[in-house]
Amino acid sequence: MSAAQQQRTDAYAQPDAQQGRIDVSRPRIDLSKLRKIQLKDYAIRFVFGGAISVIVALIGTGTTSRFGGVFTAFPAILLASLTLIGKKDGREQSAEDAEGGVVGAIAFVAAAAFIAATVTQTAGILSLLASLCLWLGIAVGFYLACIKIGLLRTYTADDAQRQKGQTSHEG
Amino acid sequence: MSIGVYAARFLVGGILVCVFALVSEVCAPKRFAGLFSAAPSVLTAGLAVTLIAQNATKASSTAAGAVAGAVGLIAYCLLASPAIRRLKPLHGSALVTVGWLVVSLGAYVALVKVVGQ
Repeated sequence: MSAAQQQRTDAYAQPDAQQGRIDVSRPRIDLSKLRKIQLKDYAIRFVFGGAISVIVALIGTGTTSRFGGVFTAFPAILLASLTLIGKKDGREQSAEDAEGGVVGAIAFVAAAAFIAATVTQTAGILSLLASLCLWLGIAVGFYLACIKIGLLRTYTADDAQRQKGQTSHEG
Repeated sequence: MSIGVYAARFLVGGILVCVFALVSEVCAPKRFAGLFSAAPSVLTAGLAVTLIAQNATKASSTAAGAVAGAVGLIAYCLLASPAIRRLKPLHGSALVTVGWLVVSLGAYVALVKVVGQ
């Protein structure tokens, strides 16, 4: 393995002491990715996010608040993200992002139900903040549980390398 | 609703979507980052403005509707993954939006039947 390949593997890998192999499916934060951010991508997301928020309000005004609420979960942002990821990182990475979205969406159901039940009982902003904490807790907890019981595939460093190679061929 | 409230919704919605996208960007692997792609950013932004400009009862109704939309979002993500692998990311993810609409409206009808209008 060349020095460059070794460096890439190290960046992806975390030792899994129990299984004695390299596991790359564990969540981690890589702040160096902030340097690669393209403002154009975020301008698209900003416009998408702003537009869908206004459209939801218009639907709610024209019909009922509850019916308008359905569209707050419209996957416009996800659609934009999946397309941008597909262009930048390849089809497989985009499909994986959607798989993670399943877990995020399950937590979304719980967060929305929590707000519906508590927002009239307590200070509204407190209910919103608590729902975000609840969403994060359920999403991360469920993701880790899915990895543990094998519902989401556990990746090894070799898999990651192979996938990177496929992505570069696609690109 | 005044133009100012719509402008506030646009601004807060855009900012929250970008914040969650940034969090998603720094997370790895992509499957974990995907959690943040399905975050309740538009819901939170909309409800924050609703609470300031309108009232908590309206916010509660909107959140109840969002439960149905989020059930559709689960279906969307389940369908999007194989669709993207077979088609291109844009085509696959756009096509399964129909699935979101069908499941969301079905869940909404079920919700109305259970809790009433």
